Amino acid sequence: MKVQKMIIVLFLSLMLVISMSGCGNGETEEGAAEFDGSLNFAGSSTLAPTISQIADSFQNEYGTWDQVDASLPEEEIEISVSTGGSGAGAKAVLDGTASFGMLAREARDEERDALDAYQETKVGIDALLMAVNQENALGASRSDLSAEEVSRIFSGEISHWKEMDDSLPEEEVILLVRDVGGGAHGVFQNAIMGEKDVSDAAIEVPTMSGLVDRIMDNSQGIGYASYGIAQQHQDDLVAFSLDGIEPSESNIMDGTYPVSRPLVLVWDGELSVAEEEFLNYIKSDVGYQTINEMGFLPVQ
Amino acid sequence: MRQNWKDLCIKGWIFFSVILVTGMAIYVMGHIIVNGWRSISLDFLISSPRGMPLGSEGGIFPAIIGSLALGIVSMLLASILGIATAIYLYQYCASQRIYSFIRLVVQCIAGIPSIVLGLFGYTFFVVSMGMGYSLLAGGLTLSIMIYPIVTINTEKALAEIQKEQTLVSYSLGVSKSHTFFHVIWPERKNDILSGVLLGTVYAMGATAPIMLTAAVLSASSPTSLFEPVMALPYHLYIMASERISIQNSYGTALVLLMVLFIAYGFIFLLIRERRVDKQ
Amino acid sequence: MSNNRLEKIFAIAVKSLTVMALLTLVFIILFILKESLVVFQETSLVDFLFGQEWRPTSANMRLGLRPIIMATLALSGLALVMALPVSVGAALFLSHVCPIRLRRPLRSFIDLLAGIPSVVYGFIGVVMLLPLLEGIFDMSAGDSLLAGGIILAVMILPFIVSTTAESMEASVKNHVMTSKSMGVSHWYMLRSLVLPSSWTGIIAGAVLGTSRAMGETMAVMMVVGNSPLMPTSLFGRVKPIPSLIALEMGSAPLGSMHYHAIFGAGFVLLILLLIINLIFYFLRKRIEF
Repeated sequence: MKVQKMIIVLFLSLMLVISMSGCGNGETEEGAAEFDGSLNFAGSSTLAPTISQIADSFQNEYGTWDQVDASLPEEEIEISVSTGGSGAGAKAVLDGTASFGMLAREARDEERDALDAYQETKVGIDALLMAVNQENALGASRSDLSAEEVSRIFSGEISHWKEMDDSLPEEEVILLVRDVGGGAHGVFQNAIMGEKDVSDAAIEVPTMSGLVDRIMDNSQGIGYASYGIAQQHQDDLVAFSLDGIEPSESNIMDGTYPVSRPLVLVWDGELSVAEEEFLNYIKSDVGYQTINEMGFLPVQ
Repeated sequence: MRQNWKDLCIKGWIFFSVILVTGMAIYVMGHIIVNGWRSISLDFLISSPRGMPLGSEGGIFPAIIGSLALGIVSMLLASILGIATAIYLYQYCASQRIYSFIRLVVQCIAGIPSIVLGLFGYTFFVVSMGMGYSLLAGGLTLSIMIYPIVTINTEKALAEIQKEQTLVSYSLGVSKSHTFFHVIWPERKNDILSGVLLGTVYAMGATAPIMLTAAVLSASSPTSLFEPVMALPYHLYIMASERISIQNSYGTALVLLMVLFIAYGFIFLLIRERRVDKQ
Repeated sequence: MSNNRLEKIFAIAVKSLTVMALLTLVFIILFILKESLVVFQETSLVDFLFGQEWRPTSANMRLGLRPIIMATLALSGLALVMALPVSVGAALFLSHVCPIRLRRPLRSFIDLLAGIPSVVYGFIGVVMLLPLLEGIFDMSAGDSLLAGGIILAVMILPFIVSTTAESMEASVKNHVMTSKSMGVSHWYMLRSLVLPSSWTGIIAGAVLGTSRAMGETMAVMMVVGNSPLMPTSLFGRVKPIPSLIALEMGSAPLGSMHYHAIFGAGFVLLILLLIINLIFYFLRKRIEF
């Protein structure tokens, strides 16, 4: 009998806690039926941590919507962020499961067409660096790769390091790429691979940070790393210049470096009041700084 | 009795297997406990994810609440359907063929891979029914997953009752519903509840069904059924695959295991009580 | 007479809820089937199942599931080969060798293992197994068919042990008495009597284990490399159906061919598992008699 009573009490109290927090909102909900204080972001794993960070600051700074703007109801600010890749972001806006899609590439034509009223705003610029581990032999001997060489490496034509250069070890080249949903996948394909497919033997990593991490873990690995994330790990990675062009901030900003990509937020139709407020916050100094701190090149 | 070499073989094989199994289990659990312990602090458990990137400095409270919420929602739905099915099988089902058929269907539902359920849940609950990524969509998907566990366990629990009790009840003219509530339930409620609890725990540990229906990278604690939630298993997956913080991944894994152990503890107590009562 | 009405409501509620639950199965199967059918406008059934390449997003779209299906089968097969001997050994221990007092706790321990979430196994795989493999076999990246197989073997162990031990316990009474009275050694009894008669139980356990291994998503996804290659080497990377669905679903646009192809793959997996579960169900029935 006692154990049961314990369980029932526990259960009831949990329900009470959950419903009480829900109840509080319910009251104000009636007064402002139109207002939806919860925003969802979905998409790029490159952009997600940054947006999460900004959302966190926003929530900490204001707490409830009326603090942001006195005309708004006193509702909790609820912002949720999920990853899944840029493709998932576009898709989430399309099927209505997210307020904003985070994309780490240009939106494709099909994606623009699929939405009734496609809208976007660029919040920053990122680039893809061809990177290897600190201990990689190629990294030690060369500092530049031609686009042609990169394409041959990633298509699998060069499968062992020795094939590139006799002085390199007879080791298998471990290719680290994003899976098909990642923004980087499309960017890389268009900028470097063209018509050629990336080798089947490449390891598909589901997130960009995972990819960078794998490069750092593996001396035989080569992959395309997000500039922003690479900035956070400068000592562990060796990045190549591409066709002689350094992946420097100025080269990326002005487009000289060929594998750059925009970081965009995408949505459909009109923004709700809450959405607009948060978007403004992202584009404000706070957002700008956070994007910068995360290693990307912010755009206003 | 002399032991010839064949006997020794089998003896060796058996003991080797057992040592391998238990050794591995203990090593794995020990590894998580030892490494995870360092991450767990009151702060880690009570606060929201912090750090840059989010999660690297701990804080899994919304994930804990999210998992509990998912567990409760799916448990409620699954137990209504599951207990009903078990009652039907035990009290109402007359034909052997229908009985076998129903058990077959339940077995098949148990056989649906969790990711396929997630796929279904996404397209049907999230998109077609317009629930969006939400606690409700996740809960519904999970309830399908645990429905067979609840049904089978409840049916087992009901079957263990002494047939005489129910038969006597019926012969005295007591209706089936009355019999259930006043004869069967008081006697068997511990086992039924433990079956439900088992299902709930299973639901809380599942990732695949909620990946496509409810779980997100960061969100606040759930306040309504229609919002996305964080969940412990999904959080662990993200932390581990994005290599945000291996240390905190251990912590999250440990919390998940602790929830599991606590639930199993309850189940154990429930079952033991029954045996004590009988004496 | 309110009792009468209550009774009627109760009966109706119970029956309709049961029917509702059962219909879910049919609904799910039909739903997935419906979403998959579109694929066959683009690719024939044979090409879909046996085609060699899976490139749903390249300019030259190819939807061949063969490497994916083979990966699923190979992983389960490997897991089974590794888990079965150990499981049967442990089951023998549990049902015949283990002192009675230890039996209950050991049984509970095994059930506990079965309850550990798959993500946790995947996590352990990433932090413990991959580095281990990289060290022992001098691999540049531990993600491999082997890693997947090992993790799966560990995961399905408790299930096989449980099922097999149950069927062995049934034979205890028969064999122990007779063997003792004939002066036969315990071990002889085990290998010549118990094992052969538990055959059905062992197979049932194996079938259950296979079905769990094939449907398993998270743990495998985290250690197997996810390259859609044919499983030709233990150290190669593969991509089984559950990983395919989990990784690609997020980005396949609603209604696109890729999206329907994923459903197609899901349907194949569903059917495979349904068949295996049917086999398990019928085997189980045989044991219970």
